[in-house]
Amino acid sequence: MNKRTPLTPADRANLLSLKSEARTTFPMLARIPKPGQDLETLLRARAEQSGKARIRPRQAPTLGLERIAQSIQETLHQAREVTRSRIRSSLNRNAVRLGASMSIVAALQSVAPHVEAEVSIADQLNESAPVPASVTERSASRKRDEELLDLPPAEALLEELEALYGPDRSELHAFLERAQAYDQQRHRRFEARSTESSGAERVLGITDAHVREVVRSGYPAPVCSAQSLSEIRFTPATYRVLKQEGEVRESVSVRETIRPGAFDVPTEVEFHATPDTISSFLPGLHRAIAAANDWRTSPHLHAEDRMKLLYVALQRSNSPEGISFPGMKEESHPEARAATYWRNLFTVAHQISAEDGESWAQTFRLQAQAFQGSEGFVNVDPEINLLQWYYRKADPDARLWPYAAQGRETLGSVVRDQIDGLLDQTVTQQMKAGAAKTELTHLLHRTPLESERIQAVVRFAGEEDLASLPSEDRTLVQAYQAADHEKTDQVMETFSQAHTGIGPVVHAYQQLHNTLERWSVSDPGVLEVPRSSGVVQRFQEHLDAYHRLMDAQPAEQRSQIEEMLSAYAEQMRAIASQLPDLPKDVRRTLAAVSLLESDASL
Amino acid sequence: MTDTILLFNRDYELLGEVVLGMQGLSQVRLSALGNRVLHATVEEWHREGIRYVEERETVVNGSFEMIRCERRVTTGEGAFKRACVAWASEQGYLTVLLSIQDADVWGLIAQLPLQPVERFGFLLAYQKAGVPERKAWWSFFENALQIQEAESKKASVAIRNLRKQTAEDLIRSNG
Repeated sequence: MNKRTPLTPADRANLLSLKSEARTTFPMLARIPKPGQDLETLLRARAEQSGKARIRPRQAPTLGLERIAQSIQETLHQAREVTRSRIRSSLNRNAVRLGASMSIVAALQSVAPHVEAEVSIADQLNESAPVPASVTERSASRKRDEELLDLPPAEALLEELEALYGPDRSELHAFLERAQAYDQQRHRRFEARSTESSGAERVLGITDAHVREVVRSGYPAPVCSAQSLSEIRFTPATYRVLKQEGEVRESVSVRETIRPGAFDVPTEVEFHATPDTISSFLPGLHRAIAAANDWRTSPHLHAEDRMKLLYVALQRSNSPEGISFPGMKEESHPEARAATYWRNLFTVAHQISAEDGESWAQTFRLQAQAFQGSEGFVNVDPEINLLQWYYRKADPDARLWPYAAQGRETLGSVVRDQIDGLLDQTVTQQMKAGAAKTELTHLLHRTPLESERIQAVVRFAGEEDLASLPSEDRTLVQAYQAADHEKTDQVMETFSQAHTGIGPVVHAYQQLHNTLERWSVSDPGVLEVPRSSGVVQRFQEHLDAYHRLMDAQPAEQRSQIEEMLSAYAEQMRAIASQLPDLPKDVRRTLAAVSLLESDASL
Repeated sequence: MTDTILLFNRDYELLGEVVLGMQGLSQVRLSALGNRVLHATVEEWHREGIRYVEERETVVNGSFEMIRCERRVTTGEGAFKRACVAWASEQGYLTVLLSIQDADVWGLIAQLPLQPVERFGFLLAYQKAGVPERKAWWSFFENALQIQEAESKKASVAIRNLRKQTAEDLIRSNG
């Protein structure tokens, strides 16, 4: 080890000189504190020495970097928040243009705490009822789901929405107020009924967990539907499963509704909730409608669940005492309400079928349920159904029809008969329309001259087209001459006698004829109509006009007209069958008439 | 035709995009989060197919019966889409079926500084909108992007000033 040699006075002086020189050359060395002097003191002293008013002794490089990093983060965060705020403002400003603010809210609500199909049902059930062991011992994922389904009250949701998109949620407020009123109304009705029924309809003992399990298990939809705030209806299949699995306990009071001929088991099983459970209704309704709003796109829901929710929401929205569907125009007249219902259902069915054809069958089943005489739909005007039938006819996607047929096959016989009856009724009207068109178009040009009679036929087939086709024209004339002239003349004579006042009918049918001519028949059983031509609406208008005019005729005369129109349609069908090589437009028109007739005879 | 299935977790965070081709699976694009969670699963899909449970209702002697079928659907089958959606549902993931037309919109939405739940909600709202509304949504998204760009520029300037100021402070303190 080296022994340390003490510095001589000369060494010391030399060293101090070097140190001084180094401090001048390297300013950083000036920050090296002397014994007994810390950095801050040194810097302050230096600052005072240099005449600076303020010093920042703590702005050492490390501290500065931390600060700038933090500041940058804050700046970025602030910029992000400002951007988000401006986007929200833009969203609110453009809410209507973007498709109604409620739709946007609904979309966002649907992504709030996990809207699921069963929520609408579960929220109406008795939360306080004990959960059987078989349910509580389910998997951890079930428990997690249940936790997620522990939804906040509506107020919390509202606050969340307001926080997200500002306080201007008048539509949402109005909706919630209506829902609240509906809730209270239902509550009172339940209390009154509970008193009157003296225990016949007692407390529901099934928990929401039961329902969730059933729904999640994927039993056939509609597994259950909520007809009201306090009623849950299960399909027989679901009910049977519930019973078999012990999910329906002895203490549960159910009311079984048996509809003769429909099923060999109860068609509906109603569970009645206690008034306490109704208080949990509002969030459920809120989410059910939100989910139903998003029936098409919500990834939470299977198609069946979507349709179920839609059905529930539509029923509520259109039932006489129901609340309005958000964004839906309120209709006070029962028929208008029913029309709204049908329009919505068919619109929805049309859209969902484009996405998932199999759901069409489900839609058909729901439609059948509506036919069964659910509350609010018993007085559906046949004309409305007619309109909807045409709507379906206008569906250009023929691939969906097998699903419709499939849906029909899955229906109970009673319901199927009801639907068939309605369709028959519709088709009968259509048949009359088609036949009458034929006759009236002809009679419009009736003269005793054969040439003009021929001209009438030509006109019926499509005047412009046939005028330039002399050979086919000749064939057509021959075919016409082969038809039953005696009967035709008789018809015409009858019509002539009844001609007074029939002018408007003829005019209506001219319009109808023009509309019908736009139809084309490419395949028996399928009528193709241009999607956006509005032809169906126009047809309906003309048909309505015709019916109004016909109704104005004396009953006897009306009957005669219908008879002769029917006879004439028969002749036209004969012509069509004899002339397979008729020009396309002629064949199309004749086939349309023939098709209408054959449909009617089904 | 649906071309892509977007997969989200329960917090609405994107896990990945399952791109479908003419026949079955075409490609899976996983996010960083999705890569952590689903990487092994996607490998399994390619190796063994995807498990698919189908329940059907049938009528036997006038009463309803359920038939449960379970099988593996390979990535080359047309039923892969359905199987994937069913799998996601079973796993508690959220799916959004994205048509090729909607893919651009999702690209726009993904650029916006939104919360996952908002991003998700906007996509749903767009998808359920009608044609006129969709135009408005496009306009809205473009406007939102402009807002974002403007704010981004402002932030850049602010950060540049901040750095400059900090540097000056450092120099001053060291001087």
